[in-house]
Amino acid sequence: MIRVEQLCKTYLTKQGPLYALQDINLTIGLGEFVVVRGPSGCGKSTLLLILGGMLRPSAGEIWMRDRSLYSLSRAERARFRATEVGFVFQMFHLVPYLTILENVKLPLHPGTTTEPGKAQQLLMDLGLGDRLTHRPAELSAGEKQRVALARAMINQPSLILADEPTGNLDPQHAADVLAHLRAYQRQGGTVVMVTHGVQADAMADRIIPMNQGRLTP
Amino acid sequence: MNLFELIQKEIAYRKGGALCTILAVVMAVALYVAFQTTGEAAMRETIRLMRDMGYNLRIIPKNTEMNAFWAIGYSDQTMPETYVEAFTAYSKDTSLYNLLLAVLRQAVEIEGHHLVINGIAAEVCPPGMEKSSMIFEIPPGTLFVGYQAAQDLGMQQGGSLTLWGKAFTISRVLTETGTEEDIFLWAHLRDVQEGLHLHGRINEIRALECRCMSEDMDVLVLLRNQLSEILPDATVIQLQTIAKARQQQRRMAEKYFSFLMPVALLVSVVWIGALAWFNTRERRYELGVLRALGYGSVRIALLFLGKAMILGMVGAALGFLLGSWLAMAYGPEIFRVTARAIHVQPVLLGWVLLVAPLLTALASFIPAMLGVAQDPADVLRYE
Repeated sequence: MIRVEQLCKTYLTKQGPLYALQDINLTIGLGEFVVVRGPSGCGKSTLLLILGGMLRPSAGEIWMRDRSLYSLSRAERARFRATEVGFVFQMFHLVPYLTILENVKLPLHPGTTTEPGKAQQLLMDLGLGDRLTHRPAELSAGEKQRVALARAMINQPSLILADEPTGNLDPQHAADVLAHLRAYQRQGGTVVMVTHGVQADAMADRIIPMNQGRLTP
Repeated sequence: MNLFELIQKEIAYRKGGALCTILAVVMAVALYVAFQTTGEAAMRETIRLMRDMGYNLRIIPKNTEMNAFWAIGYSDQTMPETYVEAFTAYSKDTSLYNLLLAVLRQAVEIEGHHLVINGIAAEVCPPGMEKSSMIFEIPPGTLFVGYQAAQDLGMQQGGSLTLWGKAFTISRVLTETGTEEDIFLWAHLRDVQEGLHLHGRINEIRALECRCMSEDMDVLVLLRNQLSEILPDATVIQLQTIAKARQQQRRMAEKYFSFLMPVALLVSVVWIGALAWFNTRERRYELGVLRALGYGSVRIALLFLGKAMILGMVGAALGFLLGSWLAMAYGPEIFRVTARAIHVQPVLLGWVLLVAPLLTALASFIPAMLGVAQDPADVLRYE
């Protein structure tokens, strides 16, 4: 499903070039739960953003179902993200002025067909049925991350990209979030999660270590 | 979720920023509306001030001996009173002369006092022109008496004075002016012509130059050229100090309006632009997330520009109300004489509702484009 070939990302800094990713080759199959694990600053988030069509690589190719992701126009990549990808971030990034129900509905673009009540159902499944009209500021970190999960799932994307989704959660809530990601994967979705921790190891089909911009064996 | 809902909710959430933007629009619009609403009154007031400076043109017989003219203050020559009517052949679009007053002026000695008698007729305007009178009209058989003359002759309003064997009623004693006019007597032109045995004659036409002339024109040459077409036997003298004062008064009024509005507009645009920029900075994570959720550049730009237009519209409506209220409440106090010209102008509401949102969007354009151009990866990457 996802094929990454000779991927490199270099940032030009005042101190000289910074090689964030070097010679990444990777294949992720449909329905896989992949954990990319590595220390902070090793290039995990950069890899995730590139996989999500958010950050153009310096070199290499990313193939999504045999389409070269970065040969698509910006608008096509935006459409790809809207329909194919769900993002979950460490800092949740919920929109503060929307209720949690509205946050979950945010990816529903005009013309998107979703069953009525899907957002409510998702939130109820995630144990937030009684918080629909609450604002993110009124939720705990665990609850926020579950809202972010629901937002990522609302369009039933084929791929969820999770960047340290448990990084700000206590063990109980972290386990909760991972269980939901696992459930999503069991329904046929693909999950790529980057983390520096080991909590997700038990859930993962595959763990790919990463260090200093390279995938290590 | 549609964009309008998103904008509405964001405005409701970040009330402070939205209120500051609205305030900037309100101030600019209120200033504009107040200026426009009081503009007519201000213009009339300016015209009135200029008019109060008096006539600035003197048309006298061409063969006047100028040294004597300046020494005694009037021409020793006369010309037909019908000369005034010659100006009526000129239309309002071409005439350089406004408000013409036929005068017959002579020095007289009364009870040993040297005085000057002025016979004046009703003012004449070129056809199609309507001007309010610059000088009093004197009924036949009556006199208006200058302050010093009244002192010298011991005259009071309601008294009488015999001139050329005819009794005149003193209908007004004028206030002190500190000029030669304090020794003037004013009478109806017919009475003076009769008394001096100069039937149908005058020795001066007083006039105002039209406001159509700009500073770069050689006004006197233009006036003389036109006068030579109308009255070949007359010449014109321009009272430079009055002309200059009129010009300065006019220029000052024009400058005042042409300076203040652009400055107010500029301040508002910068203010709105700065607020929009802060808003973009504040929302950079949100924008990153919206990008991640598949929002394209157009929708992101519309989030900012749509918000700017909504705030601009609200500000325009409130600004119109405030500006109209200010004009109606304080305008009459500032422009006491021409207060009746101040009234609410509903047509301005249409204009400000159209223009203010566009200007607000324009002021927010660069910040909006910065928001669009922002690389979402920069804010979503923690490494």
